[in-house]
Parts: sequence; C-alpha cells; structure tokens
Amino acid sequence: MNDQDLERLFRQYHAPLVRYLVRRLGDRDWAEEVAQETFLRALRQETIVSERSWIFAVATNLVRDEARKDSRRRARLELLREQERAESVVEPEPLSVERAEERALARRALEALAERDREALLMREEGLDYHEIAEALGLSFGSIGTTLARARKRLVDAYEALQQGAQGGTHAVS
Amino acid sequence: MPYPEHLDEGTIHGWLDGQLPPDEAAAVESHLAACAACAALVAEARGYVAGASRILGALDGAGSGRREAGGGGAAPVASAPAPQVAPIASRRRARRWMIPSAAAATLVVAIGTTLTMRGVDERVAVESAAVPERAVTGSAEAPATPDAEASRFTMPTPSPSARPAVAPAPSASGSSMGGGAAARARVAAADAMVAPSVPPPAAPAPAQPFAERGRASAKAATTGQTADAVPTPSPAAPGIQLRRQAGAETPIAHADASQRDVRATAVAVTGRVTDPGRAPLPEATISIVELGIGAVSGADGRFAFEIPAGRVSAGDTVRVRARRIGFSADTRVVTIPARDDLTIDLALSPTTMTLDAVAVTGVDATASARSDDAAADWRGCYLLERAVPGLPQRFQLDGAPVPAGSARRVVRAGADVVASWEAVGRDTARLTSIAPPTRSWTLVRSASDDLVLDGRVLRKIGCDR
Repeated sequence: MNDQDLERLFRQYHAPLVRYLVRRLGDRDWAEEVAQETFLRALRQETIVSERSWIFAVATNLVRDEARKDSRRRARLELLREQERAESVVEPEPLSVERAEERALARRALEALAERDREALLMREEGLDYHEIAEALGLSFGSIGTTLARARKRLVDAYEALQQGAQGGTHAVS
Repeated sequence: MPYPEHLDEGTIHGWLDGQLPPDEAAAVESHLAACAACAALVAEARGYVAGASRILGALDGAGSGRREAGGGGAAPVASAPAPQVAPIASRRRARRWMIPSAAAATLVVAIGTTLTMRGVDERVAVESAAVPERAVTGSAEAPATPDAEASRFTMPTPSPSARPAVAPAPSASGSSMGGGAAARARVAAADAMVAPSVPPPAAPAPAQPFAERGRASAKAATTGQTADAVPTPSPAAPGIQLRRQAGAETPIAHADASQRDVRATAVAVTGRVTDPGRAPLPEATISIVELGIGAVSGADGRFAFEIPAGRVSAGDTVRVRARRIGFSADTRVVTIPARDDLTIDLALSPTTMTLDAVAVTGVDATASARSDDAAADWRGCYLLERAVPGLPQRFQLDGAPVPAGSARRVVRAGADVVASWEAVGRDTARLTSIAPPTRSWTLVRSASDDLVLDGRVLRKIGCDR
C-alpha cells in the first residue's frame, strides 16, 4: 500500500475507528495510539480486500492483545500520564450532572456485555454492515442480527437497571 | 418467501438495520402487515436500536484532557446507510457547539426508551379499549422501508401512528444553546456578585422565579433537563479569576507527603444542593475551591462532576463550595477517599438582599389587568426545537380561558385542545396537560430572552398556516 492509499484510508476511516476505540477503551489517547498502529499495519499490507472490516478487525485484535499482554504496565503508564496531565494547564471539560452520570452508567452498561456482542455493536454504530462485522469478528453473516439484537437489548436493559439503581427508584417517570 | 413463523429478533434487527436481502425484507414487511405480535416486537426493537445508539453516544469524548479531537468532529460515515448513524452524527455536530447540551440529548433518550413503551400503553388507554393491536399495527404499517422508518424514528413527525412506538427522539440541534447561554449568563452574574468591587446589584432578588423553577424541578428531572456545566475556568473569564483569587492559591492539604496515594481513578463528586427547607436549588455553582473545577446543579438540585485521576490523593482535604445568587455560600471540607466517590449534600440559606432604594412609580389598575397583560405577552404559536414527551412539537397558547372567567387558557395543537396554560408572571408560564396522566411544564423566559420549556428551547412562530 502506498502513501496515497494510506492517506485515503486514513481520511475515510480514522474518525469512526477512533470513536469506536474510544467507546471501547474509554480513553482517547489510548484509542489514538491503537488507531495509529492500525494504519501503520495497513501501510505494510500489500492489498486489503475489505478495507473497513480489515481495519476494525486489526484494531480489535490490537486491543485484545494489548489487554492480555500488559494491562498492568498500561495502568502504570496511565497513571503517569494522568499526573502529567494534571500538571499541565488543560482543564477537563466540566461535566454536567447528566453528562457525568450518563457516561459512567453507559460505561458500566457496556461492560456488562459479552466481548463479542460489544464489538459487534460498536462496529455497527460506526456504520459497518453485517458482512463487514461478520468478517471482522469471524462470525457468520446470519448470526449478526441475533448478536446485535442481544447486545442492544442488554445494553439498554443494563443501562436502565443501573439508572434505576442510581436514582434509588425515586424519579419514576410519569 | 413469506414468513409463516413469527419473526425472530435477529431478523427484526437485520431488517431495521437495512441489512436483509431485498426478498427477505419484502417477506418481513408482508408478515408485519399481518402480524400484530411481530409488529410490536419491531416497535420494541426500534426502541432498543435507538436507545443503544444514544447510550454509546454518551461515551464519546471520554477520558482525555484533549477535547473532542479526531473522532469528535467526525463526519457521518460516508458509506453508512445505517439508520442509527444519522442521529449520532447530528448529535455530535451539535456537541461541537454546545457541549453540555449533548448530554441532555442522550439522557432524554435513555428515559425516552422507557417512555416509548409506556407511550404505547397510554395511547391505548386513552384512545380505545380495543387494543394493543391497534397501536401496534399503526406503527408497523407506517414505515415502508427500514430507511423511511429510521427517519421517522429520529425525527418525531406529526404522524400519529408512528409516535407512540417511537422514543421522543431529541434531534439535539443546538437547541439548548439558549438555555446554556442563559445559565452561563447567570453563572457570570453569580460570580459578579461575589466580586468585592461590584456594587450590590440593583436588580430585584430573583428568588421567586427560581423557587418556582425549583418546584417544577422534579418534573424536569424526569424529562432529563440539562444542567449546564460551569464554563471551564479560563484566564479570559473575569468572574472566575476572582474565584481563583479567593481560593486557588491555597494548596491542597495533602494527607502525608511521604506516602501520597495518588488517585489513579477519577473521583466522581455528586450531591444535591437544597435550601433550608430541603427544596432543591437549581443553578447553584459547585466547585472544588483548590482545583477550580465544578459544575452547576440541575433542576433537581443535583450536580455531578469528576476530579480527574491524578489530581488528588487519598486523604487530601479539599473545600467544596456551593454558591448561588440570593443565598449565602456553603463550604464543606471533605477528605478524598481512597477508592470511593464523593457524595456531598449542601444546604444554602437565603440572604436578604438590601437594595438601596425601591421607587414605586404608580400602581397598575387591578391584579387581573396585570395578569391579562402578562398573559397577552405569552399568546402565540410556538415550536419546540426538541420534542417534550406529552406535548406536541407545535402548539398555540390561545387566549380563550378554560373554564370561562378563569386565568387558565387553552393550549391548542391545530384545532385540538391539548393542555391549558396560565401566565405565572412576566417570565414564567405554566402549562398543564388535559388528558391524564396530568403533566405540567414550566415555560420560562431566560436571561438571554430565550424561551425555555423543560430545558428545551421554544421558538415563537407565526400562527398562520
């Protein structure tokens, strides 16, 4: 793959890939890192047949590998990075009540899903079609609908359950 | 090939996602036309599709000091026909302009999914005794193709059949922008008031309208009203510099310098601000004095923000201060826990505001004349920029009293009377639905002259049609 291809690939898929990874990992810097590694690998590839599913598959595998390999080292780096960040002047976005709660609940709800369901759902959210998802995750086309149905249902149900728990059931929606 | 059997969930999601081959999609559609049970499943699945999308949207921009770089400004995925991509993308676009409002959008939905199913029930109850079938068939026949369905989904259209099956999807245009600006204006005002150099404000104490809003708050909370966050302290904001003078130079009292246990995870700080009578106080500014970070309480007085990981250590003490116009500030010294998050409830007492002089130049004729004046001001046609459950998106505040002679007046949607309204003051009107379950909404003219209803911006539009 030449630089021109890479550039096109990057322009086309970088944003959705990073969003996918941020949602998956909960950390933008880490997500950017994985995305970068993914595109570097693409550069080393002669040809890529199904671009989008290839990219998402590689990124997904990088995440899995890394999670397995050095989660402890990563945690340490995270901490250092956070410290460095704290010393810089960048203030975090202030969070409104809803936004902060929302995000925390969403993260916990997403964690309640099985790995494969989570990946399929996040890929779907980035516009991958069922064929691409099937290819990226090594699943059959026919199982994607069921996977997504289960993932969405669990996510929403988990979220609502958490939300009710968080509000102590006092804010019944009327 | 027709589906003699009922549709399974995978097929339904595949159909909603527009991923079935044409012949299979056609078979699904013909089955749905005849099968109320499956149509109901489709309606439910649609709720899940949208709900999941929005929950995931809440994760964007997470966990980095950098704001919304790369993915944040993403254009919609080029080749994505996916129905759910559209709302996400548009929401994201909105967020670039108005970060806090996006949260409201996502929250509403989460609740919206609950409302969805409930909406069906209510409708059934109100309309006729006959019928899950009726409500559901309506929703099933409406969409011709998954795509058409998707668009109906994301933008509540007036189509009565589609409505109940659909979560009141907030389109999250920059709609709470006005509200946000207003809240910021108020925050700025709050800061101005604590400035030693600023003379006592001559404006009358806003306690009454605020209290009014406080009462409406439980309702607002259930519909997911936004609490706009405090603008990030920046050197450009004079009000906030002031606050820095007051506190930011104070270093954090560290527990034990030799063995600092730096928090590797963010500390979520949540709580509630109330007045002495335990009524919620919205729009109070809550901040960690030492760190200059904080939030503004929402309509139900609740607030939440995070101390980012690494900023504090377990055992540190920090001051949490709540402040609001017309109330004396409350400061608590809290100790950062080793692992847990912080929950802090703060109570503010009203302060008496002394005004230099109150000049009364004449008295209005009668109270009713005044309320008429106030009412006249509100009359007209309005468009909600984002749907509010239970209210039509377009409605008219009519002058006709209900019942005759009362201060309550008619709210119409087209020719139908859908609610009643009453001017509560120059800047507040109250709307109440007519059909059970009774709901009410507070319509407020904010500091920036925007009209806000339950956190949604309301536009006054021409009544001609």
